[in-house]
Amino acid sequence: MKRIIDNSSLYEEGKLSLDEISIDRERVKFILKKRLRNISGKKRLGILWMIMDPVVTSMIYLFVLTILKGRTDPESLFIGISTYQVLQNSLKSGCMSITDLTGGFKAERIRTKTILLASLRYRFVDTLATTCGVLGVLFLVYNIPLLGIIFLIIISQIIGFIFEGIGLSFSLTMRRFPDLFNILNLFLRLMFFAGPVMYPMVATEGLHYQINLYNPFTYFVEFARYMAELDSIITAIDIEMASLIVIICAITSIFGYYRVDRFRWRMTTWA
Amino acid sequence: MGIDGASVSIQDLSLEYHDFIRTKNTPWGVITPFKSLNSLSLIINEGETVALLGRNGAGKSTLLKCIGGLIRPAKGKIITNGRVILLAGVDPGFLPNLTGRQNILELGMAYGIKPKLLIEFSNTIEEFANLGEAYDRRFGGYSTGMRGKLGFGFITALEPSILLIDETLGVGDVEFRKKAQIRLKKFIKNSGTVIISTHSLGLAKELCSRGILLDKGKLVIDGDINDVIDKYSSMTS
Repeated sequence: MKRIIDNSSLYEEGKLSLDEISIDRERVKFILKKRLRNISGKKRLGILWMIMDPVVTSMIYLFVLTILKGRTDPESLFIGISTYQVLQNSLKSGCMSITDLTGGFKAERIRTKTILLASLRYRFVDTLATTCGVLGVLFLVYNIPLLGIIFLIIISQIIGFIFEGIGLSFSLTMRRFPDLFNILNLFLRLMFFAGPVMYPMVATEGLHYQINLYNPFTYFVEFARYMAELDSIITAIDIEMASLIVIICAITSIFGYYRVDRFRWRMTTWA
Repeated sequence: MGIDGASVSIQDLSLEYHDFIRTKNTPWGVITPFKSLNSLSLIINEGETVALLGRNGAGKSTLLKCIGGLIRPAKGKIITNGRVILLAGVDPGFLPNLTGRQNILELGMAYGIKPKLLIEFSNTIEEFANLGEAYDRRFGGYSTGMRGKLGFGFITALEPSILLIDETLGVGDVEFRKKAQIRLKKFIKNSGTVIISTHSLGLAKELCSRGILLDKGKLVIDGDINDVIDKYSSMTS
């Protein structure tokens, strides 16, 4: 394979051989396993921690809110926290991805497409693991209808893929200005408490309600609640505004996935 | 041989690193470019073994990384024909929580070793690295020398078309270095192009027929290894 390296990119001439395609497939598997191993590490329960974390977090907040408010809506809280964790994991993973775009291969440059494919597979597995514990609780304990469960799986996956891409589109800026990562953490914390994570949108009013209409997460989580037959404002929202916000998110995300090769190439000379 | 038959063709290559510096006068920081390679043009033909010589900071490692496609040139172009492997440091990407054997098997697949050849591939490396029972211990617990043996054994077992070596032969004990040289010679005989960045003039003389001397990112001399070593010696004396 002839490889041409210049300032704008690294590109290969000709079609990939079957052997090369097969190697790329093995590399996707390797990177995926490596990322999952990084999470499980030496822990005995390994990936089970990913499943248990949102369930335990939801139960803690359920307990705290029940004490503080006297009553709360557990189904809504479980959906909010699991989808929020998917958003948080994917956004942070996208933002930080550029710190290691070698895929762990130190002796050879591997194709960006391979790294991207591994990231997408990892996102799918991570999202599934993050939501499946909560799905079990919702289905078995709170009798949420099957259709609501299926939609929660689909919506969580959409959140995962969209916010991973949004993270990617900010990754270069994050690398250049690491302070932004702290700002992102503060923003996510604010979103956790002020956004419709622990409570549905119907529990908000006035300015709080108005601001949350600009939060893209609102539309995903409220739709999930609606499909689970819980309190939701989804039927009352301005559909044009909702579509606009979701479209902006989708475009930013596609931009991130599309530009990742260029980002990867640009940052190689940053000392 | 012209550009068409070349294994590596470098045309007017310049490279700049970008450093982020924050000072009293620039509290928000400024990005300062500094040149590492300056208008290099070279052609390395298939089957050649080339020594890359120069003082620390001359740009040897940067040039190898650039040929390996790991960093972006500021100007110019590099064309490589065939698979390029860079042996820099001693680690092709081993995972600390896996044993040496598990690493070889998993990484071997990811580096393109066919499943039916994998056991043989692992046995060859086990024999070369001579780690004994440590081969089945966690890689994270290996000493630098042991890591070097495994890494060198792994990469030279891959048989790429273009092998770039960055000072790696310095790892391990005397016995291992001898073994590594024998293995490298065998590799050179069996396969394509090799470019070695080294400070060891004896090694360069023994393994290479051609030398390239760099200084401050510029090409000083490119030619017969003896001439290049003489020039380098006169520069450093």
